[in-house]
Amino acid sequence: MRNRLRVLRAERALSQADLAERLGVSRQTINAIEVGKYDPSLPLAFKLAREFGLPIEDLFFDDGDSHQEAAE
Amino acid sequence: MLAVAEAPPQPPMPNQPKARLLVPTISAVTLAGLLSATATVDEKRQAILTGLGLPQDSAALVLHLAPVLLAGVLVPMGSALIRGRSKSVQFGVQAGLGGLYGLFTGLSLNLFAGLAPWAQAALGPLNEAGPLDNLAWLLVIFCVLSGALMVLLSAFGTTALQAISTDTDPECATVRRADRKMYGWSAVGLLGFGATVAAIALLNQAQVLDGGRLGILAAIAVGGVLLYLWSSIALWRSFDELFRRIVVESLAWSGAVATAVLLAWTILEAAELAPPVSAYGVTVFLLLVQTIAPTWLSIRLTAMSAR
Repeated sequence: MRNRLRVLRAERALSQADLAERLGVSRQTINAIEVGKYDPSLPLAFKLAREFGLPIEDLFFDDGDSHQEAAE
Repeated sequence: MLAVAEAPPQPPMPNQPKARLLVPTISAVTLAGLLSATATVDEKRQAILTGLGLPQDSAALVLHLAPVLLAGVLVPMGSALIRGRSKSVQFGVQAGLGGLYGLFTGLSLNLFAGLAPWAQAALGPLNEAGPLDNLAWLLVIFCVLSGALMVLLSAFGTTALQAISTDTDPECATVRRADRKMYGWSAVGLLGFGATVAAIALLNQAQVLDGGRLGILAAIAVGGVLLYLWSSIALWRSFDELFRRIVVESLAWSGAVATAVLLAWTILEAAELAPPVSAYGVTVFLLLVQTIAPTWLSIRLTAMSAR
């Protein structure tokens, strides 16, 4: 899975720690998701999507999803 | 491969506190002092110093004090040398200074050798440590050093982290209150685990144990396990999904590895190709595997770089 978390976080001037605190997870979890080492659970993925006001598929997409890459 | 290919503009980060050197220097000197206090002096180095005209006792004092003073010098020196440098230079400088300290200390002192007489005074004569005992003591050293590190991180938070971390990413520079609590529980667990392994190793090495001493060692072993379990429950409750996954995955990996190795050993033992293994051997092996697995997984999943 790939994601746009780092870009979206940067656009909103949020640090990893800030975002982690809002979602009730550790900073390491946000970092692991951003760098692609960890795919979050569905509840956390939905929380992230809600936090950024986006549908979940605009935040996370499959490695081979060229549609999303073109959209970026 | 980076999950996000673009180089995004970095969000503004909270002000990074200036690294203060007093606490890390005092911590390094304290740890070096503990290492020195539990060591005996190297006889060859002592002979060199006495050959230069120093009395025997003064030579021993110099060899005990030199690594402590060196630790006090190297921490501020290392901090000054890595400031503003790239990550690879920082790693190189820290590894170089750490190697220098290790070499100097190893040449001056026989580390942990001073503990054996203390243990013998308390428990009577001990058998010489075999390979399994050495593995157990290695685990104890790992637990004590990691536990001490967790104590420092819990007590001094950001200051301690900045003293030991070479990570230049400002995201990694701050220790929050919740993190400090987690480091504190980790310290309790590691030190409890270390106490249990040390007690088991001493029980194995002691030649004669009367009821009282046996009872004390057994109480330390059981008390350590209880502390470890207590901290594990507290940590599990405070963990989020990533850390819970690390726990579950490390248990799965260590279980698979332990089963495979013990199965292979059983087959070899039945074919008389391997010596019989005692419950002590199995215990030390299991403890070792269960220590390595979560450490490796934590590093792999929580490091800052991409996979």
